Amino acid sequence: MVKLKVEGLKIGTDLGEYEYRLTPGRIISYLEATDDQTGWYGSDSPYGEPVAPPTVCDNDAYWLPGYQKLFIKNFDSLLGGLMHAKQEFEFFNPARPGKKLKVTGRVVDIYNKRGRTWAVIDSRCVDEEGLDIVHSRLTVCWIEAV
Amino acid sequence: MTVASNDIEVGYRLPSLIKMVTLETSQLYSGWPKYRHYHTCEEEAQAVGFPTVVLQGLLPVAYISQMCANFFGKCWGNSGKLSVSMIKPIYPPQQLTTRGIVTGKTTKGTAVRVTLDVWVEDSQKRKVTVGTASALV
Repeated sequence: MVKLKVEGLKIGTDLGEYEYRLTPGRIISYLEATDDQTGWYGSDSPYGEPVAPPTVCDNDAYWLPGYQKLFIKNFDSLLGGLMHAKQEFEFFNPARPGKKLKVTGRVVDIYNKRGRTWAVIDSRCVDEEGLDIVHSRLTVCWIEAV
Repeated sequence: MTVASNDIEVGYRLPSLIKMVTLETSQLYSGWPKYRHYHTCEEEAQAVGFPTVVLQGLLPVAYISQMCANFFGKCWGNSGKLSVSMIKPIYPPQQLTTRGIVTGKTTKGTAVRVTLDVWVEDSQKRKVTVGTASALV
């Protein structure tokens, strides 16, 4: 098992901002990748207009600059020792195609359990009108290298 | 297909979704060929100690969300909560089955928060992702 040395990780660390436009192409790619047949991005949308699936923003925390700096750019073998252990979502509004989304996040907890280090990252996604889209809580764990 | 209502019975079993996941599924979800790592490349997976490519944990979560979207309808997008643990790695190919069961109802003003136990089983019927979901109906 790969052991990781994560430098500079503290409770309260601000992980920065990540902005992107939720293009129709991006939504369609996500629908294909997840075999989504709910019809929300089509005529079966319960909102009367096409909307993105609630989990379209599922990986946003990964792209926060602080997360990339702490966990990704330090390792030759991408995430070889980092395990995605838990995930929470609270959905407020579906994201609309074409809207610009902004994601912010921070580290809210770090602890040791069962021989691993665990970090909890809270992130929030809003659209360009300030509408809350989703709040996410991601828990990752790894074996600390000495 | 929305089924949830405030008089849904505790014990109601949601219609399951069945998804076949293969190496190609994992590659499509995780950005192959742009991203070469243990979710997309067998060689990279074996280099860090896995027998083969590991499916990204968020993909079964997306399947659970689809099951809940079918069950709760619009309420899922506006009030859905999901909390899951990834308890076993998933090595494709696998048949994944989502499952959900109503476990409780709590009155919140004029609405009712319906709570579910949710999980995903692999081809061997082992639980790989487990947790809870809820929405206001």
